[in-house]
Amino acid sequence: MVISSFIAEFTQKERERVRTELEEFSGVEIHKVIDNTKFILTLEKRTLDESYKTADRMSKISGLTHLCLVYTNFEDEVAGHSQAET
Amino acid sequence: MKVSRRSLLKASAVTAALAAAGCSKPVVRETEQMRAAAEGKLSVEPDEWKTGVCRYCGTGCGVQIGIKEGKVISVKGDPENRSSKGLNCIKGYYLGKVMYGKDRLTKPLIREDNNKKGTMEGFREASWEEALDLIADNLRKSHEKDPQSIAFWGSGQQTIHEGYISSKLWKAGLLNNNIDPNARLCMASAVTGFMSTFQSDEPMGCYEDLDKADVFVTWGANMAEMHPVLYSRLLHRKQTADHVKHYDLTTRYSRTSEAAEETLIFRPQTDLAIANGIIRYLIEHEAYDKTFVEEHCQFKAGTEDLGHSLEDDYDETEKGAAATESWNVSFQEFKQMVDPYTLDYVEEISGVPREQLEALAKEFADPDKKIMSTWTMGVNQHTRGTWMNNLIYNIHLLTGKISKPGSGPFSLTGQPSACGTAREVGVFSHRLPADLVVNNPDHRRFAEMIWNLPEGYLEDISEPGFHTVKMFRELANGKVNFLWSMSNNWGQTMPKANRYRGVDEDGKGVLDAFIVVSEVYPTRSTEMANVVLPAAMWVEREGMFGNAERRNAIFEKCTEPPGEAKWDLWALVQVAKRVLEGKKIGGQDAFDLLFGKGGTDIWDDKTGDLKADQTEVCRNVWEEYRKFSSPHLHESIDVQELGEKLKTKAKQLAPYDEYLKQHGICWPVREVNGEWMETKWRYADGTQEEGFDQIGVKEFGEQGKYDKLSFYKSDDKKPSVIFRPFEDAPEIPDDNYPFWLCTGRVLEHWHSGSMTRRVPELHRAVPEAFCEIHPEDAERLEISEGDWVKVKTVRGETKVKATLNGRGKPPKGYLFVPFFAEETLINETTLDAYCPISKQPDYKKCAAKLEKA
Ligand code: SF4
Repeated sequence: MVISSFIAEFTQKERERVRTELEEFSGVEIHKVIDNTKFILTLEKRTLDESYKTADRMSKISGLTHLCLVYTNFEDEVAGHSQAET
Repeated sequence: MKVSRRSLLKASAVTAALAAAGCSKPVVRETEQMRAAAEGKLSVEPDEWKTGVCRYCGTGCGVQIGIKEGKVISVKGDPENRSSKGLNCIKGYYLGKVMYGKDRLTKPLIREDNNKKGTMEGFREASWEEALDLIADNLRKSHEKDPQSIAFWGSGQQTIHEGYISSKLWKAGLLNNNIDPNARLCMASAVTGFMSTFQSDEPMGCYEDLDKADVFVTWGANMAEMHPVLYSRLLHRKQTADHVKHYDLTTRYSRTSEAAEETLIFRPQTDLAIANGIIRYLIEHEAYDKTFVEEHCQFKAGTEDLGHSLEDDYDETEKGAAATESWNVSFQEFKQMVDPYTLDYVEEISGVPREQLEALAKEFADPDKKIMSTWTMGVNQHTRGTWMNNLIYNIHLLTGKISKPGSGPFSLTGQPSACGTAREVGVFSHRLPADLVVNNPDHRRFAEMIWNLPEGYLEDISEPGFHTVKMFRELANGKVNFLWSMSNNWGQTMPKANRYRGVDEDGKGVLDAFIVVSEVYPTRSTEMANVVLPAAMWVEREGMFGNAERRNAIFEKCTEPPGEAKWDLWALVQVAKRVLEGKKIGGQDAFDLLFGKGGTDIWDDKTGDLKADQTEVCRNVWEEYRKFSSPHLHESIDVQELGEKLKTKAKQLAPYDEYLKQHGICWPVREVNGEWMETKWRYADGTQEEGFDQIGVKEFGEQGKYDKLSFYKSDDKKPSVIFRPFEDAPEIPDDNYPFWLCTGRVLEHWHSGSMTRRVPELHRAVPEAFCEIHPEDAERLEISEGDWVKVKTVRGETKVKATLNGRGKPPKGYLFVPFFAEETLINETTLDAYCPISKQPDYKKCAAKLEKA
């Protein structure tokens, strides 16, 4: 499990469409809207690679002007790597 | 309610995001987490959070790195780092992962078969002892035979400490100026632009200007892909203030153009004419700030008709030697010089419609608008790069839009420490720390005093050494026969790569030279090496980067390097110990005077090794380096007096530990009432607490001047508005080579891809290079999406896949190819002509033809 959080900035008039499109991605949860310009969201995925891929696709939503990564925890993946190595 | 690990992790993630968004109100899950943590039932927190900065671009985002059982398990934006305020771009996902590519170099390699140079074959594994002895032996022999035959190629990715020690070893230890950084390829024109206009390097403003500007002008900068976090601040400003506009000046429609209100697509090289057109417009319409100009500016002209540096001896030619000369002219003379640049004339040569040019000029003409200009490689990688930098300053100086919150010219950097290491430490062939230069006797004397060297000792380095292109040309010619490169990838990134990879007839010297490459992964440069040294990367050692807004920030060591990989600084000092063995300076042991107790004090005599505590080593290096910009703290009156005369305190730095405490600080840093305070707007009077340059203006400038500004580092305290004409590019498309060829980067890959291509997902996102072609050109040449094409220039050819619908949209007659892919060496086709002043080559324009492969 890899959990990340983002600040996603959107064009105000596109807010609801951006929200809908974001929530269509599995693992996305929108927690808060700030200043009517930013969503605070989390993304839960199995691996870092899946997280990156989803974030990359989210960043292409029209009306979502920018997606900033704030936090990512990949402890399970690190543990997985270690197990695979041993 | 049952609290799961998942919900706690999410609460941590949300809390971090809220903090980064400037909102501290807790969410419900945070309360749960706190309750659970208080009860000691569950913890998702790492054992320890360490402070760091991102490894990639010059934005220099702060990160916190979570460590559990010695492993990096989590990364979050550092809200206390004032450059990024908790934000990272999505490349941040892979900060941890870049260290764990399967093919990390973990043992020193020695080449046994020189015939296999150019490949990763012909090496054997060796011990560090053997590798270091071999390097030292070759370095000593070459140096004794011909001091000019040795060279060091450093980097804007070396830490400040590594850069400082490289420079000290080369300049003071070996009395040699053949040391230059890869920043010569990205920032040199910005440096010479700043120095010629202001006599002080680096921007006067800061990232906060992005939150306050009314108009943004990007000049040759694809910020959306190259500086994502700064671009998000620009977008946020636009989102929250309806009147804010963005003009994107570019030769190719990019992701940055997508959100700009106006995109001005110009014919390559004619940005010089566009800037002059704006200047002429401002003067013609008396729309410049007359009082500002009278109080703060002087006018100059410089050598023109410089020709182009295509031949090896260009610097010694009459034109090359006179390139830096300039002289004062009157405002009337300046006005006459810009007179030909009517908007109609500029439209004719640039292809930008007059209406767009006029709209941009009118923005600058509006005294009430705050304007921020940003630029990167489009301006710097330019055979008139210094001139373009000067011209942007001219516009901001004429309108007084400078050194004020929200208004100013801001040169962005590409590498994490191009500013902190290459520029401030002075890892250039002509520089010493703190804006000092080797060809000024006072500057050399000052360095001698800081480094405890006898008077006159640095006389031997009074002439600048080989700049980067010259260094590689001399390597190709066989004159340089020892090269050590560190944290860079010249085998892929040097223009005209066939020559510097020893393929061309005039490049065979490369094959005979003894080349050392310090690296983390095998690259196109390690292929050229005789010895490869496996290096610790990013947080596998302690270090410090200096970003584009003058912020120096420490990253702590978080994990051990793999195998036998070692800190580059350790390798430098080990070689220094061997090379300086038996040498004396002023009767004292040279090594001890430079790096031991008599100098930097980073050597442990008892263990016969570098001191084991990396923080102590870094602190000692920093504290010596800091003496350059804190002469007032020095015990010697002579240092105090000369430092005062040279105004080195204009770059004052804080004690080392303060940088960790504050998570980065922008210089000049002033001690006010026992607190170390940064400066956000240099030359601007106001309180230090609010980020103004109170102490600098008071000590070196004049208070009470117009707009409360005093450019105290400039000659006569007046920056120069320098006339720089339009002169065309060295290669212009013709019937045989009808396309402009531009090279550059993509969001997913950082520079030559040696780190980001080791991350499977980044690699999959953009797995190979491509050639962007305008659909009409493609149709004419019967090229379809995905076809293999050959891009050919007079220097070579590169096979690459065509794209007609990429993220960049080139105009007709224009090709764009990124340089990240080592199997697609586009630099085999690029031109190594450079700006005659900055010596920075132009990767953005040469003439090419296109064929279906
Ligand atoms: S913007 Fe640059 S410094 Fe910031 S996280 Fe992205 S790559 Fe790193």
